[in-house]
Amino acid sequence: MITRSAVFVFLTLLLAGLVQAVERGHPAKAEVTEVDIDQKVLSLTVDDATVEVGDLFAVLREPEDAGIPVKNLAVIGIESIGKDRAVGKVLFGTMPSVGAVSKRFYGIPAVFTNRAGEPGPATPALKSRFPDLLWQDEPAASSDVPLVRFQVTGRGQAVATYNNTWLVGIVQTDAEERRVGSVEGEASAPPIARLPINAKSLSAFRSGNDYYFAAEHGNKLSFFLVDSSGAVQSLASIEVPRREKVIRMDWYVSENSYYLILNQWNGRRVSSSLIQLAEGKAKAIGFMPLMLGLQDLDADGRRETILGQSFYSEQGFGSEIYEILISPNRPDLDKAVHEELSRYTPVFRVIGAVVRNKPRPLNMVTVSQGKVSFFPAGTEGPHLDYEIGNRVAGTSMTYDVSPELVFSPRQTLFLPNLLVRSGGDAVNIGIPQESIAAEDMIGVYDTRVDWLTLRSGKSPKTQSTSLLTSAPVSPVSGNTGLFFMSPDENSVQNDSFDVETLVYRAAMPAGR
Amino acid sequence: MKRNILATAIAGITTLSGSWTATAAEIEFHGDMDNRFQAYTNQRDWFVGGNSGGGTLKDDEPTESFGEVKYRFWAKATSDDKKVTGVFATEIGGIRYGEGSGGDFSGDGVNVETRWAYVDFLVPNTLDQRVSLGLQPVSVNRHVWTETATAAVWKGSLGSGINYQLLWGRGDSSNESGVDSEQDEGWDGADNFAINLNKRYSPNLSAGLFYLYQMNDQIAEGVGTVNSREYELKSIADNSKYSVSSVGVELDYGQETSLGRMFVKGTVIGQSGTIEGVNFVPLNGATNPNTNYDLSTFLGRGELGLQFGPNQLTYTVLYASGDSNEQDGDFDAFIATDVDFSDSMIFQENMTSDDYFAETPYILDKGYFMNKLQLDHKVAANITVSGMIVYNRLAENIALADGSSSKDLGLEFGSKISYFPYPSLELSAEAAYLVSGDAMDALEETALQDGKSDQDIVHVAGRVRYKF
Repeated sequence: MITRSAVFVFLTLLLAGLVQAVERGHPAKAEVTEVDIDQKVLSLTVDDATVEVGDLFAVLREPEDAGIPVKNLAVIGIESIGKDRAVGKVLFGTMPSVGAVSKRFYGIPAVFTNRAGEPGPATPALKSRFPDLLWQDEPAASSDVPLVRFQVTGRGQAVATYNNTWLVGIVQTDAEERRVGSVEGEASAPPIARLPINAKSLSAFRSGNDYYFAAEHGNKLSFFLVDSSGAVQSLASIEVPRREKVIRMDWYVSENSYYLILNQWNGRRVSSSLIQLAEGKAKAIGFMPLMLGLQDLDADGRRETILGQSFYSEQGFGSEIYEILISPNRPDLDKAVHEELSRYTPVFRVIGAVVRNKPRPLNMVTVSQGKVSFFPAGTEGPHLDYEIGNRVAGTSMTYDVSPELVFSPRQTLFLPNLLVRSGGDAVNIGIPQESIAAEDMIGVYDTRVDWLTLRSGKSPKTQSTSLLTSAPVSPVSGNTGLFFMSPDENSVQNDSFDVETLVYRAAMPAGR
Repeated sequence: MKRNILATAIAGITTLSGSWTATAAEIEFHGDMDNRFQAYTNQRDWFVGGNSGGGTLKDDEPTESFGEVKYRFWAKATSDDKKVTGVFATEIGGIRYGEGSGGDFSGDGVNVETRWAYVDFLVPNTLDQRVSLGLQPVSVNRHVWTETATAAVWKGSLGSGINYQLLWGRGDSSNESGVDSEQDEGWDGADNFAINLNKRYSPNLSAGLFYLYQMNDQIAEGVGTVNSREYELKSIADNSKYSVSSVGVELDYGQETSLGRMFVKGTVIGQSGTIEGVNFVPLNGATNPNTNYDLSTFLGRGELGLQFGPNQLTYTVLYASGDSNEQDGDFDAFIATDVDFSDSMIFQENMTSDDYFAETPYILDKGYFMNKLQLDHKVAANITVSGMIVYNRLAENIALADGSSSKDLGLEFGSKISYFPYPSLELSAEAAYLVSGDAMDALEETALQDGKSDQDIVHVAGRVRYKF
């Protein structure tokens, strides 16, 4: 896990190294003469005898007949110097063609932007921290070299990216000036619902202007409908099946029924129940020894496919993905191996997401406590880790790897609450962070949500929103928005029987 | 496709600076802090820790109550890219309240032991193949070998959905105390080679297969002994020559029924081989003059259960073959290598896990025929109460003082309650009562041996355990 200080050290080293390379000589050009695509190494003829191991070159242009767009920049690091040629390695970007012309870095421009991506003057603290950067008020229209970008995401923090793709982490933008950029909704957000129970866990579903909630409290699951005025209607209640620990809930809505997918842990394996909500009653209609998750496999913006994967303490996740179908005329579940997705295990997890561009999957998204990872379709190739913030919110379940061992290792299964939305050519992923006390406001807690936008063939874009509340909140599962909950300690005075539960909804950033 | 950003960045730094930059590691600190209490037993000398049966029943019913600390801590250093992990684990105790080094006034005892020390890494260019090297928890099969050992383990998955494990472990070496032996060189220690294959065929069905080959050649170190109470391979590894093969299959099947979820689990294991360079000493002390033995054994275990509502009813049957002739040249009793078993609170491990009669799935060299019925009821997600009845028998008769023989160890009644006020904190209690059968007469002190059982056994214990 990368800490903020580690990110800072990394950035400093990166930039210092680059600047050191720049200061040593004037611009030099080199032409690619040989490439080895497998090893990602290439040979260059250099017109400047002062080139040294460690120099960085950026590809300026491809040969005219290669048909490769100029914007496909690559960064090459020189690894050895031979007679009349240098051998380099592609550190970033696509392998250039033979005949491509590259140019040594002559300076590292940097730009500081607000939350909307508009350039502006960098803060003094940031400038003093990175004095060797060539700070620009706005990026040049056409630049031959990649750009270091600091984009404000929240209070005193900015995302540092390199060439829009090296997601290297967050840095403090100004120690004194706490408010950089505007945070939406400075005042504490009002709850969208107040449920008359002390919920241990919660799942939310938005239907028009109404919200459906499933709440675990005690040994019960209770269902509520909250309308646009905030009026709460209790719908039904049911015993928690088998009284096993509830680890994750999700709403599944078909054309004519509402279902709750209930994932439970018994110390050895995860199993799931499907609870149907109909005619004022809740009824468990099926059980499976699988962990179930919802996916949007046809990229229509609705997560209507139930996928299952076994999870045992001895084995971890199973290697096969099942698609679960609810039989309309009988209270049962049918399952079939989803052969296409099964090929992607062990990368794909049903608690993550498959991000799909028709007709094939675009990426897999997996989440651990500290990061979100994007995997390419298939199991081969590198993956991209998103490490903004190491406080991804969710629930964790710690278990003994083998219960039969007297002294057994322990592992943690992290169950995230992401919001994945796909549509058009873009996929949006909302990643809630844990609540932290707002440093400049007493009694206010700030829960940041990082939003990533993925477009095929383009660099991920980031944006953040903040939810300000009067108490720390925990994430609520839901596929129609990002919801949070907290117990309302004040309700004890109003109701001597129990604590009420407040539910909040995170705002989507503008332009989504 | 984007590259692994961090790896690229680090590579870039290395290139630029011309020297390696130390990569960071994420450190996790784990612990298992077990505070256990023997509330009462009427037979202190029964729970004294033999491998396959260590205790003796006494006439004066020596009672015992104690508190004990047994803590384990381990640090896990994981590289930034999650591909390499190093683990170091320590163990403290058991330190009894007021006793021994560390437990009496002022503490200050030297109590820290090394429990694990190993490195685990992802095989390059793979996604799910890992190798572990060092002193680590190994598990081939819970009935045969599941404990800590120095080993090299390769785990991974095949494209067909089969999970596999390849293991080489060395349990003992001829080179003791760092001094090379002139007689013993090369592959002459207690070496263990295992392959495990497991496949989940459907959400309801999984099956596994294992083969374990164990060889040892330390016969040059003299003729050793194996006795009825220490009947495990680890007891003779330092002083024998053996070649033992164990092969087993496992099955786990579940199915929804109108009554609830039914499950069936089964294990069948066969063993064969030879053991040389030891004399067998049975319980009666009449040493078998043979030094070469043929091993041929069997173990079967089955569980049939039903989960209905917050309840789970489980019937377990276990049969481990025993030895009916203590003086011939055959070992017919199933033999484990190093295990920890807890089916019975009286005959095997319980909450006071350093104080037990046997750690094996059998008793002495007489095998085991156990029938157990257990009901678990979840009062809430974090509270479980259990009740059980265990009928304990030997697989083979044991000779008694009056010239008769018996297999009947007795009927055991037990109960447990566990409560997790927080997910990481366990408060538990257990109690067991054994109505002894006549075979227990052989395990009574000499003055009591008359062919009939004379002592029942009571065990009451609890623990407060914090795991993180």
